[in-house]
Amino acid sequence: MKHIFLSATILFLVTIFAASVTAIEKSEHPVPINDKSCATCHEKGSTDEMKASSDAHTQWDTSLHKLNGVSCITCHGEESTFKPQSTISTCASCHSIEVDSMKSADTCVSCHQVHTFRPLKGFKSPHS
Amino acid sequence: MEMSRRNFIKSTLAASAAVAAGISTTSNAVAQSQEVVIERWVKGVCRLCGTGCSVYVGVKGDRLVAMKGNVESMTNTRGYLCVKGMNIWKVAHHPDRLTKPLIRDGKGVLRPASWDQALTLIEKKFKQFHKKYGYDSVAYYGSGQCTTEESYTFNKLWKGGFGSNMVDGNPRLCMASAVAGYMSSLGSDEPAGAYADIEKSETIFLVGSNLSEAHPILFRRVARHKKDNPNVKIIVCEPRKTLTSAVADLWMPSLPGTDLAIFNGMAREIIKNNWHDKEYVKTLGRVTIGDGSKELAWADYVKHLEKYTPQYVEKKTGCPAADVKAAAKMFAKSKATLSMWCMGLNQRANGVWANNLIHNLHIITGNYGKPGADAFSLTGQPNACGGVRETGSLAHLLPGAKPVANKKWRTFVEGYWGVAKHSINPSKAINPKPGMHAVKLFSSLGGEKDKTKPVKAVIMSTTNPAQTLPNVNKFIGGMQDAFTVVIDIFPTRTAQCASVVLPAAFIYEKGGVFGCSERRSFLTDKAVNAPGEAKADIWIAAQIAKRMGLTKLIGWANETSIDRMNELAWNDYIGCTANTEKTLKGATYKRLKKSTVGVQWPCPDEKNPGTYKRYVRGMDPIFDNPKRYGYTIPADAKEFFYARPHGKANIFLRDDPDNSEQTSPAYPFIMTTGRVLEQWHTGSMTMRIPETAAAHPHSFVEINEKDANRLKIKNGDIVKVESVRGYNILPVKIVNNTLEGVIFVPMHDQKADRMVNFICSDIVDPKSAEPDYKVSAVKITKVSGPKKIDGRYLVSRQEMNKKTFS
Repeated sequence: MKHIFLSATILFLVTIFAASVTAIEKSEHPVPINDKSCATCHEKGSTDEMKASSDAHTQWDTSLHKLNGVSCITCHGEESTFKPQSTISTCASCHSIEVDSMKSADTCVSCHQVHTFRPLKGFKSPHS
Repeated sequence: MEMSRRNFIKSTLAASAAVAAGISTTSNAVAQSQEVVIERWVKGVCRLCGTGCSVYVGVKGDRLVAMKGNVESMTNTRGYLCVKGMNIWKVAHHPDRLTKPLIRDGKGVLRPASWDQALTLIEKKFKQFHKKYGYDSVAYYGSGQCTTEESYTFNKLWKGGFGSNMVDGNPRLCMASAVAGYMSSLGSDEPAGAYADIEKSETIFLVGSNLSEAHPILFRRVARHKKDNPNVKIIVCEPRKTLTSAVADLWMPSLPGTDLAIFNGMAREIIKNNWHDKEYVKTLGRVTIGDGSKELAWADYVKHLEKYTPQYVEKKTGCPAADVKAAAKMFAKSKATLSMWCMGLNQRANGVWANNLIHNLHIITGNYGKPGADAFSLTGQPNACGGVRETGSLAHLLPGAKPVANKKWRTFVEGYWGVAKHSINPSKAINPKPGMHAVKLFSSLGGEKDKTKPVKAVIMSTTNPAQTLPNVNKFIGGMQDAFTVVIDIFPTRTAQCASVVLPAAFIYEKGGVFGCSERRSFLTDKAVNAPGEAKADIWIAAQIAKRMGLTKLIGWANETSIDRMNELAWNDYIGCTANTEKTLKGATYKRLKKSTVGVQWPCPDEKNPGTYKRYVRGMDPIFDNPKRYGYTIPADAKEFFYARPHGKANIFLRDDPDNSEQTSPAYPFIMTTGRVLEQWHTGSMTMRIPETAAAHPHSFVEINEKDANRLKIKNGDIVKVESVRGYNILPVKIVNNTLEGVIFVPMHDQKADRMVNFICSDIVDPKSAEPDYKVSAVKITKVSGPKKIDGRYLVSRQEMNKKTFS
């Protein structure tokens, strides 16, 4: 119940109150956001479901990132500063200890599922 | 040469589209590929809340381009930052920065002026008012966002130089009840413990705090502690079931303003079940009432609590009786209980009493003085503790947080400052009478024609009272009519009322010390130059001192280097307070420059590592030489509340009076206010960061779904929220996470018809004078269906020339 309650609350917040972002002429997002929330397109079953990352929001909803207030904008920016893939340096803003302990060829998503951030099976953690 | 991951990250940072900096538009391709080269990292502390997150700001040339957490930090452990903190550097180069002094002309227009013109006008007005209306006619209103050096300088200038205690600051609006609570219950301000108690606790009682949004980095520590130790119990007591409750074992709902009954009810349950620590109470507790002078018997306390049965508590507060019993058990049966609270207790008509009752719970269960146990008040600003409480930059205090009314201490400070020699006040002394607290100060502020208003001028730094005072409409006219000087980095509602606006340097453009909630002082180094003609506050204070004939009082007034000014001011401050329990004598500027973790007071000498836990022998250096600090501590005392002759903490008999504004048939809802995760204070900075502005572009009203059904209101509908004082027009957010009859409105929006403080009650706590922002009686009427909202509203330079708020 707690999970459903929180999901509904966050979803509502994003849906209703991101709805009035001042229009920005030149969108950096692949398609104009047009006042829609991230969840409108990036949650499975949403009305405007996109092929790309259709369940991103659903996965994030169960993550520790959500619990700790790390939301879509933290990693992806907003419309004018949008990054489709968060860079490793963005991860390092908070996780520099972990990033420092990684092999140079790795990225965070080499071992962590993109939006739940849980370690993928079969990988041994390089982090101390 | 191939760059290693570690070195690459050290030298570069994408910094969430650093190049965009919130103001330029950059293509995706560029944003993806342009990792900004960081030429150097400069240590500092986050500019925002009171957690005191330790950071490094990335610099390229003379520009801030990134920010990262300090992995060695004792506050934001492992270097975590919240979304506000990691983006705050972006405001430094925002095009709205104020870069030149402005003077309002006869037509009400703010015109650019030179520093000499602005300072000459300030000098002329201050001297004129001092002569015509007395020294108390000119006030300073500071902030928990000024550096310690700045607050100390202005405080010394006013109290030592002008002989006036007309010095107050915005911590009055957020921390004054916690100060009075600590002083009355324990005898000394600020927490005994530290954040390190989080990981050592077995039960955490979060009350009057939406930790997940107001202090997200501390919430992360709590959540991680719970995740790693599932047996740890978390209790959350507040009217709204926020994300904070997601980690809680128990959410205790309570109608705003009623939780004193819950605390007394928990104490009753603890004693009734014989869970209290009898030895601790006998050794370190003292039952009392009123001002604490009269000692009562334990039986008096037990009798006092009889009224607070779980059933009474449920009826009064809305908190189920079973929850009161469960919370009491979790609180008392744990080996170490940590309470943390914030504005939900402090911004209340009974704020001091609420603080006292939390301390009561800790005293009767012996929850001080051991790892994991403490009663910890969280601060909302980065330097409310260090800069304002510890330097005594409030109307009733002197450095060391001791009262101006304390003759012995006043005499010492007069001597230390050389007041008899340097003061321009013929009394040649510090005024023994406290000045006016914030609400009284602004009630007393007005133009020369208004004979009912004794305060004719005020200089306000790094704060925005024209938006933050309760029932703010009451004070705007006075600010517009008086001679008001505003020091800030951006246009604000207060700047809109100002006679003179002075452009300020941002923290990373000047450096200085911030002291956070856990008694930790940390020095931020200057990273870049301020834009245009913007200046550090300490420089502004020094110029005023020189022009007012107080160059010798402010010994750093003639310095040209801000760093040198800061160092001399800091040295003066730590010398003044060296023999108080707040001593930072060992935190020399050289040590702070070198330190990447800061220093917790008491720290009497450079060899002392700083103090994690006060009042405990072996941890608190005051025990090593109590006479130096004016205290007597028995040689066999392992724990001792040394600021009291008896060494005991007060267990107060406090009832649960209904002092807040009450609902009525005409105003049937209780409105409470607070923060959201992505915004901070009046949004003057966070609404200028694209990401945080996008996440919370405007205010809203949160309404329980049953109330919404009764009012026939749907999500997104536009409603009028109105008290007897004023109204807001807001979109509706329907929730099922709050009690019926309770609504919530965030406090950050600058748009005139969404500024919640037009609605808020201006009742203040009788002891602390802190306003009751958390309880206002309101009514709600539907205006229309959903409409597009003009979010991200900011007071513009043009609007500063208008008398009315748009």
